[in-house]
Formats: sequence, C-alpha cells, structure tokens
Amino acid sequence: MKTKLANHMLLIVGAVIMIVPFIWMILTSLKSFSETMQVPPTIFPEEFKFENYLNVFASVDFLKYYANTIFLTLGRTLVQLFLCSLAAFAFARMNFPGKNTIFILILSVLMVPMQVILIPNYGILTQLGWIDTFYALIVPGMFSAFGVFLLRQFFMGIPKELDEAATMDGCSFFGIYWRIILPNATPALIALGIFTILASWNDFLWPLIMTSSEDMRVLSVGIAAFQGQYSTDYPLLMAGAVMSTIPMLIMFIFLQKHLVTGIALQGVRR
Amino acid sequence: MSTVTVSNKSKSNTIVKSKKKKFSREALWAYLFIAPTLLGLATFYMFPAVASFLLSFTRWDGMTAPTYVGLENVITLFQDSSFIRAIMNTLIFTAVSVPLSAGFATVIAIMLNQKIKGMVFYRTLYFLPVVTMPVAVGMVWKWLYNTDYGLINYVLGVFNLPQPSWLFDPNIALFSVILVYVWMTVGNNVILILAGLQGVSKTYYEAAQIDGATKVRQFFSITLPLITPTLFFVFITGMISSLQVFDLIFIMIGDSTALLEPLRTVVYAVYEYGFEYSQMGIASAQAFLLFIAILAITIVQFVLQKKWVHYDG
Amino acid sequence: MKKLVSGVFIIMLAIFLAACSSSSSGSNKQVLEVALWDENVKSTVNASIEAFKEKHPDVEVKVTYTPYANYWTKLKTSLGGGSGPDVFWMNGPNFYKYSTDGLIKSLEPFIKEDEEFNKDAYLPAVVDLYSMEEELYAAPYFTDSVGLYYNKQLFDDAGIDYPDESWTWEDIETEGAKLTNPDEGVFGYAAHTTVNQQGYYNLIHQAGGYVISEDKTKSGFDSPEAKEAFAFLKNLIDKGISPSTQNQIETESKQLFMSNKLAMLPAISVNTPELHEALGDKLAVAPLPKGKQEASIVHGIGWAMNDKVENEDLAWDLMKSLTSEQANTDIAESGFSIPAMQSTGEIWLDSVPSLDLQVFLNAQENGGVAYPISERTTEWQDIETKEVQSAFLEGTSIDEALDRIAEGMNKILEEENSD
Repeated sequence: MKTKLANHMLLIVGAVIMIVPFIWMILTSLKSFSETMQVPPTIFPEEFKFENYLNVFASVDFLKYYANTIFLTLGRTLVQLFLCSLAAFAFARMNFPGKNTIFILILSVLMVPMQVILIPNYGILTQLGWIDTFYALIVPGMFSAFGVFLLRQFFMGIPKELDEAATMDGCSFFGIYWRIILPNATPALIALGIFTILASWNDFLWPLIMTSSEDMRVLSVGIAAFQGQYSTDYPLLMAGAVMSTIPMLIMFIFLQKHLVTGIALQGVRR
Repeated sequence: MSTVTVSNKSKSNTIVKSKKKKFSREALWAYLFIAPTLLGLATFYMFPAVASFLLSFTRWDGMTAPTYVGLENVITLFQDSSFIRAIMNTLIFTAVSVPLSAGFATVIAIMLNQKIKGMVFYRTLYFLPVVTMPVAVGMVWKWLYNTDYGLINYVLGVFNLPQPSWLFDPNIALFSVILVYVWMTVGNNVILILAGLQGVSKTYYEAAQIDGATKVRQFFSITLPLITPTLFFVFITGMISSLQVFDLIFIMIGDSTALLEPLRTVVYAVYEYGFEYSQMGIASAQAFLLFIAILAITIVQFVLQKKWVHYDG
Repeated sequence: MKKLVSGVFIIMLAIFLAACSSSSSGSNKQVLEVALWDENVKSTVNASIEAFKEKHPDVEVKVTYTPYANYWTKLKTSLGGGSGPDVFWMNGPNFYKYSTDGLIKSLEPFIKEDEEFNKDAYLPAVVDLYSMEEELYAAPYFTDSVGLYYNKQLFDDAGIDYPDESWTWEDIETEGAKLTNPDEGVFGYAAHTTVNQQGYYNLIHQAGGYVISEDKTKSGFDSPEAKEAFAFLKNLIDKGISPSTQNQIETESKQLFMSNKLAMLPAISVNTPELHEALGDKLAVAPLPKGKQEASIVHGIGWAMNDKVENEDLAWDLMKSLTSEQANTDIAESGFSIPAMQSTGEIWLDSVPSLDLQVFLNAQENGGVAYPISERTTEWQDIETKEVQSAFLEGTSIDEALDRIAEGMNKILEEENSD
C-alpha cells in the first residue's frame, strides 16, 4: 500500500513537469492578441475568448487541412508498417550475402541531415512530376530506416523456437513473418505506428517545400500561416495547435492499451 | 523434451541435404522482402545524399551551376574556429542528453508498466511533450527561462536563490537547452522501453520471487538484461538524432545572434550556410563530415553491443 | 484485426491512386505561379489577379503563401530544383543575390516597350532599392518607413509634452529620463541594439554617416558617425532609460510598449495595426528625432520575375496588374502598408484615422534612405548583429566591435566585387 502511494506521488510530480507547456498552450489559445503580448505574462486569460477557435476556421480551411493530414498520415503509416516489418524480418531472421552491409547502408540514411538532401529531392520530385501532388506528400514517407531498425531489434527478441516449429510445419518465409512474427510483435508495431503517425502528422518542412497549392495543405503548414513577418497571432496559432494535437492524444489513448497487451499474450501462461 | 531433440535432428538432416539450394532460395526471399524499402530509401535518401556528397567539392549557391573547388570546403571548415565550436557543442549535447533521456525513460517506463489506478491517465500525461507542437514548446520554455519575467526565476526569487540568465550565461545556455531536449524526447523513449518490457515474460519474475530476490535485484538481473536490445536501439537512434539536433536549437536561438556561439550545432551551421548564406557546397561538406562521425560512432556501438546486449532472452 | 487492417489498406490504396491521378489533371491551360508570404494582402492580390484574368480568361494563376520564416528556404529549394514560381515577392536583403546571379529578370526591356508602366510613379527610394546598374529588377509593391510611436498616457502621467518634429537626440535623453520609472518597470525609450531597420541604421544616417557606400565597396561602420550613433545608444542603456540588450532579446521592446511599460518605440509603419490594437487611443506617432540631420530607413517589397519564366509577356502583364494604380489603391485602403505608387499614398492616411500617419509619408520624402544592401547582405548583417549584440551583452568596447564589423564587411564586399 505504501509503495503504491509513493508510486503515485512520484508519477504525479513527473506529470506536472510534463503537462505545464501543454496547459499553457491551451490557456494562450483563449487569450486576446494584446494579452499574449503582455509583460510580465498573465497565466490565466483575463477573458476567455473561445471565439479564437471559430476564427481559426474562419481564416483558414481547417477541415480541408484535417482531411489532407489524415490521408497523408494513414498512407504513410500503413505502408511503412508493412514494408518495414517485411525488411526487418529479413534482417532479423534470414541469412543472405551482404546482410550486414545492406543493413549499415540502410542505417546510414538516418545519418544524413534533411537540410542537404532537400534540394536534390526537390529535383527528383520535379522529374517525376510529383511536385504539389499527394505522391510527393506520401510516397517518400513510406520508407523508413528507423522503422526497419526498430522492428529488427524487436523481432530478434522473439524466441527462435517459435519459427523453427513453423518451418517444420512447412510454413513459407512469408508465412512465418505473417503468422508468427507479426502477431508476437504487436507492442513493437504499435510503437512504430505511434511514431510514424506522429511524425507524419507533425511533418512540416517536407509538405511546406514539396507542395504549394491550398488544396494540398496540411495542418502543420496551415497553422504556421499565423506566424507573420512582424508579429505572430499567438492565440490563433495556439488554438490551431490545440486542435491539431487533440486527435493525436485520442490516438495515443486508444493505442497505448495495445502497447502493453503483450503481457497477456506471452506472460500469463504458467 | 525428447521430441524436440528428435525433430531438431531431422531438420538439420534436410538442411545438409539441400544446403546450397535452400540457401539461395532463402536469400532470394530475403532480397524480395528488403527490395521495396531499399529501393525507396535509395531514391529519396541515398541518391540525394550522394548528390550532396559530390556537391561538397564545389562552390554552389543552391541555385545556379556549381563550380568544382576540390577539398577547399573541408580545409576551410577545419580552420574555422566557429565550426570547431559547433562540433564541440554537438558532442556535449549528445553526450549529456542521450544518457539522461534514456535513464529517465527507463525509470518512467517501469513505473508506467504497473497495474495501478489511472495508468492510462499517467501514460497520456507523460506522452504530452511528444505531441505538443514545437512552436508552442519553444515559446513556453523561452518564457520559463526568461531572466526578468520567467516562472523559474520567479520561484527562485521567492526562496531568495540566485536567478541565473538561463539562456544568456554562456556557461549554462547549452545545458538549459539540453534540459528541454530531454524533456521533449523522454516520452518517445518511454514508449520504446514500454514496448520492450512487454517481451519480458512474467515467469522470470515469478521464479525470482520464489528465490526471494528483492525488487532492485530483479531489475538489475532480469529486467535490464532483457530490455538491452531496446536500450541499444534507444541509444543508437537517440545518438543519431541528437547529433543532428536542429529544430529546438533554431527555435531557442531565434533572432538572437549572441546565442549563436554557445548554442550552434553542426546541423544549425548546415542550415546557416545552405539557406542563409546560400553556400550549399560548404553546407554539404559540413553534413558529410557529420555523416562520417555518426557512422564511425554507430559502427563502434555495433561492435561493442556484443558486450552488453542480450538478444533472444 | 488483421482483416480490418488489410481492408483499410486496400481502400487506402484505391483512394490514393484516385487522388493522385485526379490532382495531375492534364489540361492545356496556361498556368502562372505566384509566391509571396503575407496572407494579409490576400484580398488585394486576388483583386489584381481577377483584373488580370479579365484580359486573359484562359490563364490560370496559382498563388502560394509561405510563412516568412520559411519563404526563402522554399524559394531557394524550388529554384535550385530547377523550377520555382514565375512571379514572386522580393525584399531588400535578398535582392542583390538574386539579381547578380541572374535568377530574376531585368524589367527594363518590358518597361521600354510598355507605356503603361511608369517608373517615376513609384517612390524613388524603393525604385533605387530594386535597381542594379540603373536597371529595375523588381516592380515596387508597397513601402514602409520608420517613425517614433509613443504612449500618450505615459507622457500625460509624467507631465511631458508630446514629441514633435522639433525633437532631437538630446530630447530623447532628457525627456526619456523623466519618463523612466524603475519602480514600475517603465522605460523611457527603446534603444534598439538587436534590430537594425527601426534601430541604429536610422541613427547612423542621422549622424551623417552611412552603412554601406553608394558604390557598395565600403562599410560605414567604422566611421566616427556610426560610433557616435552607438555611443548614443549605449548611454541610454547605461542610464537605464532603455531596456538592456539582454532584455531586448528576451522580451521584444514592442511587447513592453504594448504593455504600457515603454514610453517611446521607434518602429516600422507596418507595425501600426498591432500597436493600435493593443493601445487604442493611447497610441500616437511622431517623426524620428533628428541628429545632425533627418533620416528614416525606407524599405519595401517588390515583385520579381523568375529568369526561367515560360511566358514572360504573360508574367509581365500579371506584374503590371499587381502593381497598377488600382492595386495600389487597394493596398492603401486595406491599411496594410504604404502603397509604392506615390499618388495613392494619401488614401493610406485614413486607415487609422486617430493617428497622424502623414509622419511616415513625410519621412519618406525628407531624409528617406533606402535600406542598405549588397550581394551578400545576409552574411555581413550576421557579423554586424553578432558583434553589436555581444559588445552590448558583455560590456566590451563598442568602437572595437564596430571596427571588426567594418573589417569583416569590407572583406565580403571586396570578394563580391572581385567575382
């Protein structure tokens, strides 16, 4: 009982540190523009301006941005989960010439800063005729060295006896991957899913550079429009940020359950 | 028990019989599994990276035709004290932030992996820094750190403690930013370690409890070894991304050039040269040097992993 | 679960293919791409495009707004990747880079053959700003200049007369000291050390100096005039009349001003709407106090044409529509900024009736100085802001810092001229 109380205390202290900026984002979204410029800053809004949220919808086509962002996120995430797990399976479980070299080559992708591949990439997408289309938004994001590495790491932890048994039953490589590895790697797939969803949802520089038209705009780029050259409309910016964050929170609350269900799968049997 | 040994034997027999053929079939499947990812990465990452590598031998403004200058860019960089300082900043940043973030994350993940009331609530709260938009994060931390009007110094003032200039004292500026980075990244690592903890079968603990091992002992002898593959991943990817830290530095520096020296990282310098000064050649050379460094450190880590990472528990 | 995932996957793939094929519709319509950063001019730009379309109904015009913080990154990437918008916004610091590299077209050939476009109609300082070797490269769109905003209430409370055109540097110090109230956290004046356009560039010119020589070969930072300007700033900060440099970096002076904690703020005309929103009738504006002479930095935005434009005559027609008298009138009426066409300036005066906006128009005519630029402006400006900020932050010699700025800047200018 005592340890439980201590646990709660510790968790609460940590949670407070984690939550302050988020609360502050919500409070700012309810202030007036002049109030956000006040020195020293006020913590609670003098007057709650809920109309800031309506103003976001009035000044930008927020629903369109939502739709585009959802489309981009789902497209990238589903394909990435499939392709990454497939490649990771090969690296974790199969033998083939050049395995380590290819793996390091894939990892090396993580080591090149985005800033220097931006211009060549723009050239490639121009050649493909993809600039300002959904292809540009989604296709390059379907491939992830990070994902391959993450899943390989988890697949290697799955007991080998499981697939050896399946091999004997005459299971093909794809069969082992699909029936043995994937079901046993739910937490890892969920973890990668969360990361990919988040990265796609918040991706800013890529959509900004690779698309131009209003029809292709995503949330992160749409919200940035409130940052002007001379002044930033913080209340609208934060209202947009809150509305962009809430779907991610819901996503997390839904997925975190699966993140820890592995216990039930593997541990309970005595 | 005995059946397992028998079937293992018969399996090894078949392998011996058709070794050559099976090997190539396996390799073929493996290449097929890797092909889509490799092709995609090659097109959108490796090819542009090679292009940028070639550009590091040129003078190029990013827009008009490049001119070949050989190793001039690299030589210039090694004589540039501010670039050397950027390398030092980056190394310090990584050396401090990665272990801190991984350490906190391990503790938090273990606490969040319990069955106590309100766990969904706690997990969500700890995940908040990850979902909060970077612009909001930068804005709120700048306010927290503000010397005259910031919350932190206000609280310190109440207790009559010294009120440092968190971002303007060159001795602590980098560490102030590291703190924010740890705060931002810890949630990601918690998720990874939580996922890693699911692979740890409860039976191990049950056996340990029978043996009368304490919680602390259980952690060091069971939990920690079993999540080493995850920790290895956390360290490698954490290191790779913190060596490339940019967004946070960019937001924290803002328009204040006085903060450049204490806070500039290598990728910040890449951005500065590539997009502010239009010297893409130098920017590419910087990126290439960084790439070599990261690659070297990563390979060393992979070699060293045999000493501490336990696969297939 | 598995079935669900594969089902969703197949549906996604179908939508994806459909969406991608529909977005690349293969019509043969001519398309012009326009790029700029400020969404506040959207209605004005749209009106000009409508006017253009009346003449060219078969042409499609795509407009992209990119936030200023990312505008140049995006423009460079697209130009470097071999494409880019046909007509786009240009500002002073970047202009020379684009014109000397041949990335934007000289407009002279069009102007010579087109009687409708008259260079003399636009504010000379902005025409100067966007001219290289007497050739205009960007069509002036709107302009701005610098004035002294003040908080009437703080002046009333201190019993001090409002600033007017008779004010000099000395008045800033003597009256500023009376307005300063450390107990309330109120400052008299913002001695800008972190921003140049509304800050020390004006002072250097008021002292009779220059930032860059007319032929773009020499820095003016090591001149006695520049040193005088910075000594003036340092004195105000040392006496506590102005917030310190660190304070200026951590908290924008504009914020102090909007919170009634700063009596006088030199600022750009485009700041008017937000300052007015925060302070209302307490806000007023006066000319910048004189030094040896009057001076106010004039900047402005122009429309530039991509050198690789496909149909240059169409692009020119669009540019003319964007900078026509009607477009300038629209800009003025919206109150966004001072239109570049001088005949329409008067209309802008009514955008905030409670303010004497004439101050800014006068500043442009008497003592208006074009924003200082050269080919590698951003590079020497980085040296400049870094040296100035660290000298003030660390309390080291400003004169020596100015000498170092001049040295670094002269080296860059020398390289520019030898290329």
